[in-house]
Amino acid sequence: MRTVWDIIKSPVITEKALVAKEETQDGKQLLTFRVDKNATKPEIKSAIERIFDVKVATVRTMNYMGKKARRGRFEGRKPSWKKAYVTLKEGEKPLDYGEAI
Amino acid sequence: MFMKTEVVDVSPTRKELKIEIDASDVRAELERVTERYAGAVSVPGFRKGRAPNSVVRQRYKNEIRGEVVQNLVPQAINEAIGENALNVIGEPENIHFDNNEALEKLGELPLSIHADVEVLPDVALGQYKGLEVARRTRPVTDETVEAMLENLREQSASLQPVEDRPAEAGDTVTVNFTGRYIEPPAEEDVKADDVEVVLGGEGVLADFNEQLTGTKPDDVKTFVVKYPEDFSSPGLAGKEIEYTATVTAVRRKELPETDDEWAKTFGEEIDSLETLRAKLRENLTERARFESEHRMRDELMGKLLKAHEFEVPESLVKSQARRLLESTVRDMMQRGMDPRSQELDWENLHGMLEAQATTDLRGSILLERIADAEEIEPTDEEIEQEIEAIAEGARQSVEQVRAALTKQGGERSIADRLRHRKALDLLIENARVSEEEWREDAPPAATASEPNGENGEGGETRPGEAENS
Repeated sequence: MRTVWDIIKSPVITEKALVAKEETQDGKQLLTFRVDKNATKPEIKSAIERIFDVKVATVRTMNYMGKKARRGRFEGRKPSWKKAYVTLKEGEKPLDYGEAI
Repeated sequence: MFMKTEVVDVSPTRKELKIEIDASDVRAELERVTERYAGAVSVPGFRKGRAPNSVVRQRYKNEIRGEVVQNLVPQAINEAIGENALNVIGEPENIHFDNNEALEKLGELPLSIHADVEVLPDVALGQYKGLEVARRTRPVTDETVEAMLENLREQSASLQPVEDRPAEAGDTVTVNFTGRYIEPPAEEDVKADDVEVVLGGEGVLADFNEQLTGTKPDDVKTFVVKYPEDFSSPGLAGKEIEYTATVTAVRRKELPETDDEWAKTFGEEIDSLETLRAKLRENLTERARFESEHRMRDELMGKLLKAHEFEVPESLVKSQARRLLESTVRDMMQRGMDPRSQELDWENLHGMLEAQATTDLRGSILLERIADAEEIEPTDEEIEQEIEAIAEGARQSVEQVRAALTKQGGERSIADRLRHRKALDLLIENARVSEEEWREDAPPAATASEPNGENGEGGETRPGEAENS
C-alpha cells in the first residue's frame, strides 16, 4: 500500500535548506524534502498536511540528476531524485522535522 | 555543582557513594560539549563547523553522551569525596548508573551514579607516647674482637710453596688432571689443568685428599675416583673415573703474624695492632648499637600495632604484597637461585607476604597519623640530606638520583619516608626505654619501621672490609 512515507522520503537537512527555513518570508515557513520521483505537487501537499498536521500554501518541485559515480573503471550514476520546497500557510507554528516520528 | 550525595558504609575501608547530579548541571555540560563538537565536526550538507547544535547532537549522540559522562562523573565523585571528607585510596571502582533513562534523555533527568571507593580507615590514636621498650645491646667482648681478628688473619693468608716436605692436610696442591671414564665408559677424556685442591678443605672428596696427601711437585699419580650418587655436579654423580694427576705445586697457607706490620696493611690510620683492635671494637660496637636500635624500633612498632587494631584496605595490601614478592624474587635471582625451579611453597610465601604487607601498612598508616598529629613535616634540607644519603649508598651522583626520583615522582615518597622516620624517632624519644640484657632470640617480626625503604640506614658496617679495599 502506498503511504505518505512513500511520497515523502526525508527532510533535506543542509545549510541551505535550514537557512531557508529560518529566514521565513512573510511569516511563512519554507520546508524542504526529498520526495518520490513520480510524486505530484498535490500528492506532496496532502502528504505533508497529514504528516505534520499543518496547512500547506504552495509546493514547488524540481528534479535532480543523480551524480556521476565511479567504482574503479565502472562509471554509473547515483539515483536521480525530486526535491520539493513546501511553503506552509501563514501563522503555522515553527516546525521541527523530528515531530514526524 | 548541584548534587545530592550519600555515603553507604560497606566496611570500615570500603564505602559506596551514591551521587545524584542535578539535571541542570547535566544540561549545562551537554550544552558545552555540543558547542565544542559543533565548532569542529563536518556534517554532510553543511560547511565545516556550520552545522547547528541540534543536528550535531543528533548525529554525534553517543560521542557527546560519552564525553558528558566522562566529564561529569569524576568531577562529581571528587566533589562527593571532598564533601564527605573521605580519605580515599586508589581509584573509585565499579562506577555505574542507576537509570538508563537519564542517560538516554541526557539533561532532562537527574543523573544518579554509584561508585565504590576504598578509604583509609579512621584510626583513633591511642597512647603512643611513653611506651615501654627495652634496649638490648649485644655485648662486645674481647673474645668477639679476637675472633674478628682471627677472621681477618684467615682472609689475608698467603700461599707459600712447600719444598722441604710432602703435601699434608691444609696444603693447597695444584694439579693437572686427565680423567678416563671407567663406569660408564665414555670416549672423551676429561682434562683439567691447574686445579687447586685444598687438602682436607670443604667440598673436596675424600679420595682426592687421600691420594694427594704426601705428594711433591712433579709427582704423577694414577687413581680411581668413584663419585657418590648425590654428587653436587650431575655430570659426575655416580660415575667412576680414573685420574692421572700431575702435581705441579704444593703450597701451604701462611697466616700472617699478628703484629703491627700486618695491622698497618688495613689502612693508613691504623699504625699498630692495638689501633686495629680498637678499630674493630669500635666497628663491632657500632654494629651492636645499630642492631639494638633496630630491634628497639621493631619492638616499639610491635607494641604500637598491638595497641591499635584497625583494618587495612585490601587493595593496598595486595599492591604492597606484590612489591614484597617482587623484591623477594629479585633477591633470589641475585643470589643465583632460579625462582621458577625452586621448590618453593608459593602459597605459603604469598600468605606470609600478605601478612607482612598488612603489618607494614598498618605501621605506616599509624606513623602517618602520628606525624599528622604531631605536625611533623620534613624540611627541604632534610630531604636534600636524604637524597645525598641515597646517592652515596647507590654510588651515584646526587643529580642522577634526583633525576631518577623526579621521574618516578619520588620526592614525595622520600618526604613520606622521612615523615615516618621522624615520627618513629619521636616515639623513641618519648618512650620509656629500659636497658636490659642481651638476648640471643630473634625479635618479634614486626619490621614496619620503614615499609617502603630499601636503604637501611648505613647497614654496612663490616669491620675490616672497608679498610681493606
